[in-house]
Amino acid sequence: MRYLCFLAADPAAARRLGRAVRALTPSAERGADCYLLDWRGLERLHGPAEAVARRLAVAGVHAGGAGRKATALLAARAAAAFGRPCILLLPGTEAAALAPWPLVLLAQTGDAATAEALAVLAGWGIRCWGELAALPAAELHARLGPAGLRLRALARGEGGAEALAARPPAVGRAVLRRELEPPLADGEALERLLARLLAQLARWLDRRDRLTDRLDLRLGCEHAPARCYRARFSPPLRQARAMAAQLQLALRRQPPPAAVTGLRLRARLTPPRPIQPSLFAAQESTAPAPEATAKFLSRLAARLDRRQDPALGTPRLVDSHQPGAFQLAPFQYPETPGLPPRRPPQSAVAEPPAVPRPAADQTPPPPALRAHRPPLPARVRLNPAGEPVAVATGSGPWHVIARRSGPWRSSGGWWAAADPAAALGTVPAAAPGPALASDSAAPPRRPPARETTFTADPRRIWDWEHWDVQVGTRRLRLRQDRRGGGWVCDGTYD
Amino acid sequence: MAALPTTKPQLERLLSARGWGATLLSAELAPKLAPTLTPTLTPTLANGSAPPARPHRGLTLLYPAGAGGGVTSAALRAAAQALAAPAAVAAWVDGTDALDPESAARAGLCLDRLLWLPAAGAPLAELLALTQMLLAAARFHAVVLDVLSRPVAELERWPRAAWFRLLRGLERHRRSQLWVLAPAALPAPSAVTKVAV
Repeated sequence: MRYLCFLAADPAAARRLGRAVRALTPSAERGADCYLLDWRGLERLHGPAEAVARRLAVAGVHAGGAGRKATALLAARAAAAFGRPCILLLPGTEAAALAPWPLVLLAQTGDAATAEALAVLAGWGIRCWGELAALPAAELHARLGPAGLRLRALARGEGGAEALAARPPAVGRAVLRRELEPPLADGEALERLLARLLAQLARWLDRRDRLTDRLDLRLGCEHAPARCYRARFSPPLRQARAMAAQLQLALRRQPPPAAVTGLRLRARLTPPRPIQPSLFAAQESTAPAPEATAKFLSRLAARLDRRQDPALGTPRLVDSHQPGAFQLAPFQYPETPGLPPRRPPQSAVAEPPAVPRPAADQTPPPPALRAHRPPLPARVRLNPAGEPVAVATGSGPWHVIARRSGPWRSSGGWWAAADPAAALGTVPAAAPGPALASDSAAPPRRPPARETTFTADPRRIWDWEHWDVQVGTRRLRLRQDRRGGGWVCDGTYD
Repeated sequence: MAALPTTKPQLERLLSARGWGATLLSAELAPKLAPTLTPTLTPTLANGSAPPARPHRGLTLLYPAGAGGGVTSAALRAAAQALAAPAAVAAWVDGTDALDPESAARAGLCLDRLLWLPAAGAPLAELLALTQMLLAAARFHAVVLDVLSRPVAELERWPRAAWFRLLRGLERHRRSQLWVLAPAALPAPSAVTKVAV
């Protein structure tokens, strides 16, 4: 028996299994939930593979053994499915042993195409591996493509090594920890230590062909609360110097309050970006180096000195009916950026650039809104029809509304409330008062700026009524919260 | 022996004849017509006449001509025009957090290629430093500095040297256009193109 595969049913068993496997050999392949051992050469050291498999397959660990990697993995999964400690397939008997196994066991070995192929096979009445193995390869390929052939090979015990989940997961984390004794009080020494750790992390990422898009640094401080720092990289990278530069910026902006007793560095992993560079692009039209981009954006964010995260980025409209909803996403240069064309020297320009003019029948585009963040509290007087006739923003004077347009009502998020009926049931009034002047409720408290910078919260319940009004020469966008009754000015059209 | 040049034009002609014309300052400052930005500017630029000819060095100050407004719309369209080039990128230094992404998208701005820096709390000097960093990067086709809703009293303290630093940043790479949105016609050097919207 050439390969042994061990499968752990729970985290405790996985830890125990990891220790046992490392004691056997340092070269075991590790999958998401399994270990695969090439037993060639280990027999003299640890005895026959069957004995080792039976010894380790206890308390949440299942073992499989076969002459091929994929078959050993499938045997381990079958052992887990059948509730048996181990299934060992001797060479030459694999096909006969696999034949009665149910087809559903193969569902754990593939992707969406495999699942689709299995559904088709089930529709054909194929129930076990033996029936699948007996199907003609050419006919199967004609109908199910490569996925069908792959399943057939697995059912015949001929599966390749690609079935193993030996690769690192697409996303995950890497954590580095250091305890410092004595505590480190020197900022420069801390930066040097960080640079060494990041170099170590970069080598680790390089070996596993992974990048990181976020680093979280937690510094334990002596007689003071721990201090956390975060650096984001867009696009993801694994260059130690670029990572160190960003963390150094953050450390210099907010130095730890006391000597550092320990640190934890956590990196969020991402798969590498596939980029197809152009053969014919000029040198200056290639993308800026990722580390340069990340450092540049980090320097900009450090200048902004905002506590929110992210401090800058690309505004993205979200798929919501909530007016004004957007998210701030990390900025990324286009994959094939082009530098701006270089303007010729001033003296070389003979004619001005062309002047774009609108077509005669072209309707003018609507004016842009200049948002007030946070919205300005407003007081509004309503007429008997419930329409605003005068408005005052903040503590300013009243202004008569010359023209109005609205209302536009929108609501949402109520489905996330514990009681959806109550979430929308407190509609106060655009209730007309007895006289022309019916002031709205007291001006709402001005919300903190942080709440309104990013307005895309899917859990937020809103029930709004918008009005566009003209006050003198200014055009305002007013909003009434129909749940609370307050009025605010969302912005000015400019 | 030829006579030595006694006037500036004679000296410039001599230097040009000997291949040193590129070192002349006047070559950099030769007049160039300012490009008209967007259709919305056309009526207010020259009341139907052609836009005035003036040196254009990539820096345009947009300010409201009357109470009607339209400065933000004009800047959005200018940025959209700059982003019309394939893979172009733009930056928006927002001194008042006033950019509305919906309006920007409606104006034709490709949001995916816009770097937005909301900086309402930042002092004016920081905004200028950010703008200089963006210009020095020379990666952005258009950079917009929006201080339209800032108090005029604060903007009156805008250091004159800052204009020259911005112009120098534009001249170094000659790749970016800078639009400054201000509530009034700020005192600025003549090299800054002022456009009332």
